[in-house]
Amino acid sequence: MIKMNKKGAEQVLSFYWLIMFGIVAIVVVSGVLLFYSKPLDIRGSEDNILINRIAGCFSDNGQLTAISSDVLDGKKSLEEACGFNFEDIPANKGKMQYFIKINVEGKEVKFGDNNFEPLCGQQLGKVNIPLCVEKKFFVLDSAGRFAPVNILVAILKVAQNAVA
Amino acid sequence: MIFGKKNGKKGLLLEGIIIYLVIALLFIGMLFVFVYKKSSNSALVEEETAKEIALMLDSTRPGTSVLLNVDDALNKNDGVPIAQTIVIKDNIVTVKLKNSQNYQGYSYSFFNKFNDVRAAIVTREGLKYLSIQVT
Repeated sequence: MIKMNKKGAEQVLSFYWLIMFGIVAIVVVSGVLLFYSKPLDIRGSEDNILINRIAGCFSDNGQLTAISSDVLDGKKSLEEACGFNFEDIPANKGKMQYFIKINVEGKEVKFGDNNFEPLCGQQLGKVNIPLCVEKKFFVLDSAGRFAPVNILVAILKVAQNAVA
Repeated sequence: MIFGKKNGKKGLLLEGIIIYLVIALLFIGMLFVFVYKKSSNSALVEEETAKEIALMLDSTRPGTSVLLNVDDALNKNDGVPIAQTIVIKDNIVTVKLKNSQNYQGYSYSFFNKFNDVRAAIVTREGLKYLSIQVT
């Protein structure tokens, strides 16, 4: 026989509900803080834009320009020839934030900090290293032959893009 | 009957549900307010705006005029004179929305070299735009 003389009531603010609210609050707050604590990393976009600008400087209507010869022969620097300014913000004054390697038909020229090149391709599992993008395309050289062009760009700028 | 009465016991079903719903809604509301405040934090807006302008200047060629909608960003302005909110000098973009004495704002560099960059905040149809002319 069931005894029906016990008092029972549904507890609105039961201990278990409080724990559940607490867990949900902790998850949401920590997720939001984690997400918004990291800076926006735009180096990939910068890399691509820089490669396109260099490609535009080195080729015109699919043909190698005279500027490309000047740069590859060392007569002009990349900054001077293509209108770039690689100076960074005052906090990074004197520290080169870019590395550019251009290879046209086997002829190679490098600009910036050469120490960045070995770090390319090691993005997985490593932070605070330059972000590298490499692109290959073909243009026509002065003799009308297809010339392979390989451009590698690495941008450091970790303080503004990778470190919280 | 809403309040069940069985064997002399009183139930508080509806009151309990209402209280629970109010508390749950308050809790969810607080979470939403927190997420909104975090996402529209002025430091984040400064960074976002500076980088957006830098990328735009990276991909712009001399002789171009650009009109960029900065209304949302400038609505977060905390008393900084409008002419000092977005400054482009040499190849550095600086966005400052907090009116603090030692605070310089958020700066980001762009790699394109221009002879001259003219930037000004203009108002069109009630919205604020950043007008940039590069030569």
